[in-house]
Amino acid sequence: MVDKKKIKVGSPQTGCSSCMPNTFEIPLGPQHPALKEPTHFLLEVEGEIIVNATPRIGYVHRGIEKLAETKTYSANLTLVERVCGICSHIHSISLANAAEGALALEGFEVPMRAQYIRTIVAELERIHSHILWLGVAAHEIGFDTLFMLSWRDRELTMDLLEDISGNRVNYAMNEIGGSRRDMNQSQIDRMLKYMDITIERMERYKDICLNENTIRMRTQEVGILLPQKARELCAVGPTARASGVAIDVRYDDPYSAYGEFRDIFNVVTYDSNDVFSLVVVRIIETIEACIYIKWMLKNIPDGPIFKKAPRKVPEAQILSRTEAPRGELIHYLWSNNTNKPYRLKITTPTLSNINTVSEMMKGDYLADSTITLASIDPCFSCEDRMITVVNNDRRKAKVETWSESQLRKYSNDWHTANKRWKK
Amino acid sequence: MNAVWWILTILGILFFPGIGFCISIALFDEWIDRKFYAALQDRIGPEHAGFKGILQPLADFLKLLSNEDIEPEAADKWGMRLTAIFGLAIPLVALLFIPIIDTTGLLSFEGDILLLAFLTTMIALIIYLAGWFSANRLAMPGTMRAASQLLSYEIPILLAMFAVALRTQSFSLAGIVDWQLDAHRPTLFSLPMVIFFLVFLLSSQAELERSPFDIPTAETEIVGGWEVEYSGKKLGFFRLSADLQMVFSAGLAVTLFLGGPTGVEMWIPSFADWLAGIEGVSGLAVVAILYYTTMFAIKTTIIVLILSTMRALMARLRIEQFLEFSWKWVIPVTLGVFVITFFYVPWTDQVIWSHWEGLFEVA
Repeated sequence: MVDKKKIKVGSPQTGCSSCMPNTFEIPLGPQHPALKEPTHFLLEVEGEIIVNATPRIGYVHRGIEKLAETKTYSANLTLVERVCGICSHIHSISLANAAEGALALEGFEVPMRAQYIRTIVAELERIHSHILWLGVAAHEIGFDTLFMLSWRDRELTMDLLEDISGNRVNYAMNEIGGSRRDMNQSQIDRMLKYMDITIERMERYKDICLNENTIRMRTQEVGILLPQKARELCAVGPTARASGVAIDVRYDDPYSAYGEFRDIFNVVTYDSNDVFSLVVVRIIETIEACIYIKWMLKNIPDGPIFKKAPRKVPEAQILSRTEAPRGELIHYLWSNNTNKPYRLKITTPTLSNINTVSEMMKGDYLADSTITLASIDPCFSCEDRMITVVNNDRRKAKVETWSESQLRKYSNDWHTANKRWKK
Repeated sequence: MNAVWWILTILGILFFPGIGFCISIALFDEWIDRKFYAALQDRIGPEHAGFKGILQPLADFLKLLSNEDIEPEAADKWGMRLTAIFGLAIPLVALLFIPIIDTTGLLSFEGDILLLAFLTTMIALIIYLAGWFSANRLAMPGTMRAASQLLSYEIPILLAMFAVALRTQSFSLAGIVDWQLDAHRPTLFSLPMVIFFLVFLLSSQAELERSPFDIPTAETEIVGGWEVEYSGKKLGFFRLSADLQMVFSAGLAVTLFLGGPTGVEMWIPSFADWLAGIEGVSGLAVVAILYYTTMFAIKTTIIVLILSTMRALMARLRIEQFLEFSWKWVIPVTLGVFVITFFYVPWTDQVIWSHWEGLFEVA
C-alpha cells in the first residue's frame, strides 16, 4: 500500500519568512486549457508542491431542475438528456425509471426488450465515455499519441450508437414505458463484431498503460485517495472503486436489465489508490462493458418495445439511482398526480466526487494537478448549481447576494444615470 | 578580401545559405515533423496549404504576424520585445557556423565550437528572460522549470560537443568534417561516440522543449509556461525560433557525428577528388553546392524524424523526474564515457580501425 507523502504545511522556513510568503496562489480555471468546462480551483503552492486546493463551482448553472417542473414527463426526457453531453442516455434512463417506478404503483410494467435496449445503449455509452476519458487523461500527461489512437477506436462505438439511434450525442432512445427504436438482426451482428474489435483494442491499451514507463511515472503515487477518505468524502463510481471501495449501483441495486446478468457481473476494483488505479479500473470496466453487451445481445428477448403509459403519474416520491459512467447518478422525483413533475432533483457523480479532488491534490506537484482533476472524469456543466459564496476572508473582495428586485433597481438606476450611454 | 568576397558573403548571409535558406529549411522541417508525427498518430496532418500542406508552417507564421500583439501592463515591454528579437537572431547566427554548402561553414574559425556552446546557452537564457519579463503567475513556474532544465541538459550537450572535439583533435566544425573525410567514416562510428550521439539527441530534445521534455511549456499544466503572455508577432518569432533551433540542433548533430554535408565521397576517394576539383570551376561549383546542400538536408531530416519519433512515444515527465533522470543517469554516464574517450580511445582506435582505414587508402 502506498503511503500518502504528506508535505509539512507551515514548516519552519529558513531566511526571512515574514517578508516573503511561504505559499503563493495559482488559479486553476475558470479558463484553462486542461479544463473542458469552466470551474475554479484555487491552488496554494509551495514551490511546485500543492498544499491546499479549494474548489469553487457554479459557473454554468443552467436551471434545468426548475425548467423540468414546467414540462411534461415526455418532454422532460428530452430535457434531462441535455444535462450532460457525454453521459446523456443514463439521465433519461434515470428519469424514466423514476416515472415508471411511480406508475408501477398502479401496476404498470415496462416490456423486457425495451429494458434490454436501454441497457445496451447505456453500456455503449459507458464504453465511449471511458475511452474518451482515457484520451483526455493521456493528453493531460502529454501523451498525445495514446490520445489520438484511443479516440480513433472510440469511433467504432460512436458509429454503433449512430446506427442504433441516428445520433451521436443525445440518442433519444427512451420514452416513458419503453424504448423508441428497435434493433434488427444486422445491427446486432454489427455490434457483436465491433465489440470484439473494441475488446481487442482495449486489451492493447491495458498492456500499454500497465507497461509504459512514462505513463506509470506520471500516474503512480499521484492523486492518492485512501479507501477511508473515499468513504468519508462520499466518492462514487470509478473514483471510489479505484480506492478499493466496491460500490456499483448496477450490482448493488440493479435497474433496467442489469438484474438479468448479475451472476456474470464484476465490480472492478483496484487497490493502488492513485491515478494509475483509476486508469486501470476504467480500462477493465470498458472491457467488462463489452462483455455485458455481448451477453445481452445474445439473450435479448422478443416482444414489444413499448407499452403506452398513462399520462398522469400518481403522487409519489421516488429516488432513482443509476450508475452513470462517472458514478452514481441520482434523480429524485416528486410527482403530484399530474403530467408534470412537482419537483425534480438531479445529483450527478461529479458533485459527489469534487471534494475528493482537493484531497487528492494535496501534497502533489503542481504538474500533477490537471491529471488529478481529470482523473475523476469531471463534468462540471452537469453538476453545476446555483451557489452562494460565503467569503470570510476580509482581505478579499466583498461578496454580495442580490435578489431579483435589487437587480432590477440597480439596472434602472444605472440606466437613469447613464442616459446618453451608447454601446 | 576584395569587393567580390564581401558581396558574396553578404548575399550568403542574407539568402543562401544564410537567413533565407535557414528559415526555408526550418519551415520545411517543421512540416516534416508535423506530417510524420501525425502519421504516427494515425492522423493526416497539414493538408491544404501547398502540396500536402507544405506551406502550412509558413502560413501559420504569417498569420501570427498579423495577429494582435498584446502586452500586459505589468510586464517589462521592452524586455519582451528584445527577447523575442534575440530569440530569433541567436539561432540564425548559430546556423551560419554550420557547414551546409561546403565542408566549412559560412563563418568559420578555429574554436567556433566554443562560440556555439555559448550560443546554445544564450538561447536557454533568452527563454528564462522571456518568462521573467512577462510577469505572469503561470509564466513563473514555467520560467523556473526552464531554468532548472537548462542546467541539466546543457552539461551533456557541452560534453558531447567537446568529446567530439577531443576525438577529432579539432576545435572547429570545419576541422571535424575534415577529420571525418580523412578517416573515411563519420564520427558516429568511432567507438564511444554512439553514446554521445544518443546523449546529444536526448539533450537536444530537452533543449527544444519537445515532448517528453516539454516541461517548461506544458500546455495542459501551466498553460504554455514562459510563453503564455506572448502573442502576435512575438509568438511568431518564438515559434520560428523553435524551428530554427530544431534545424540548428539537427545540423550540429549532423556535423559532429554524421560527417556534415558530405556523403558517399567519404568512401569513394575518386568522387571526393572530383568534387574538390570542381569547386574552383565557377560553372561546376553549383553542382558541388547542390550536392552538399542535398546531403545536409537529407541528414537533417533524418535527425528530425528521430526527434519526432521520440516526441510521439512518451508521456511528458515531471520536472523533478527529469532532473533526477538527468543528474543521476545522463550526466554521470556522459562524464564517465568522456574520461574513457580521453584515455583509451586513441589506443583502441589504432588497433580496430586501422584495418578499415586501409580499405580506402588513397594511392
